[in-house]
Amino acid sequence: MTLNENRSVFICQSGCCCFPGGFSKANRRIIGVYFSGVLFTLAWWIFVDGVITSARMLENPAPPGFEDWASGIVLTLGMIIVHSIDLQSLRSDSDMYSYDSDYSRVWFCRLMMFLGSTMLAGGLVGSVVVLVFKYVLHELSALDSYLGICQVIQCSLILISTLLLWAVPRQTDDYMGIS
Amino acid sequence: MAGLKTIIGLAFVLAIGFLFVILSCALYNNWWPLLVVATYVLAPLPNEIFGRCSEEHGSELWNDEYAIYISLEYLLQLLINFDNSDNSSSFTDAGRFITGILIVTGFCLPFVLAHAEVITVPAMIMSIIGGVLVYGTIGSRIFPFNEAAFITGDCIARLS
Repeated sequence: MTLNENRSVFICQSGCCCFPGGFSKANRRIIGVYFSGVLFTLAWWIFVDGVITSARMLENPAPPGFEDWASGIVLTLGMIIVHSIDLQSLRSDSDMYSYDSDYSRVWFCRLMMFLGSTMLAGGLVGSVVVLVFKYVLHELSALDSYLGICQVIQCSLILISTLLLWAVPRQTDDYMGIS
Repeated sequence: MAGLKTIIGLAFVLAIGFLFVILSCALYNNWWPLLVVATYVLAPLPNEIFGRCSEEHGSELWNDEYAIYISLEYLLQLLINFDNSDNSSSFTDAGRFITGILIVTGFCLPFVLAHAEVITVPAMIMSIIGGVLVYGTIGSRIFPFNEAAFITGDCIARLS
C-alpha cells in the first residue's frame, strides 16, 4: 500500500521532496500566491531603489518627477480592481434580460473588469512611453536612465504578478479538499 | 512531533540569525538594519490573522456525517498551525500575499539601504544572511510537522 499515489519518476517524489503533497492543486495555489506577492514587492522595491539613486545624483539631467510614479500607481490600482471582482458575478445566465437588477450587476462587474484591465495594460504602455520620451530620446547614458529602466521593470513585474494571481487554480466549493 | 534535538537546533539557528542582524548594526555603529527585524516579527502575522478568519466559517458546518472529519481537521489545524488549510479562500490568499510582501521586504530593505550608501555592503550581506537563517528556521519548523498532517489526512481519506 502506498500512501502517496502521485509518485513521479524523479528522485524527489511527487515533485518536491520537502513538500508533502507535491504539486497538488492546493500546493500550486499556495506557491502561486506567495510568488505573486514576492514579484509585486520586488517590483516596488526596485522602483524605490531607482528613485533613491536618481534623487541622490548630484547633476541629474532627468530628475525624478510624478511621471515616473504614475505608471506604477495606475498598475497597482488596476491590479486591486481586477482582483476584487467576484468572478461568479461576471458570468451571466441565459435569462439575462429577465431580472433587471441581475443584468445591471453583471454589466457593472464587466465594466469594472474592463476598467481594471485597461489600467493594467495602459500602465505598462505608459511606463515604456516615459522611458522613451524622458530618457531614450535625450540619449542619456544607462546610468542616468536608471530610474527609467527600473520603472519599466516595476511595471512588468506587477503585470506578471497580476497574471499569476489569475492563473492559480481556483478551488470549487468543496469543504473536504484533502487531496 | 519532531524530536527535541531538532527543536533545540532550530531555536539555536534562529538565535544565530538574529545575532547576525544585530552584529551588522553594532559592528558599523549604524542601527538602520534593525528595521528588518520588525519585518521578521511581522511576517507570520498575516497568515495567522487571515487564516483564523477563514476558519470561523468552516467550523459552523456540523453535519452529522462530517462531524468526525471536521473535528479532526480542526485539531490538526490547532496542532500544526500551518497555512496549508483546506478551506482556503480569498482571505487566506490575502494573508499569504501580505506575508510574501513582508518576507521580500526583509531582503530588499538592506539592499536598498546599501545601494543608497546608508549602510555598508558587509552590513547588508550580514543582514541578508541573518534573514535567510531566520526564515529558514520558520519555514523548516512547518514542514516536518506537516508530514504528520499529510499522513493522517490520507488515512482519513482512505477510511471514508
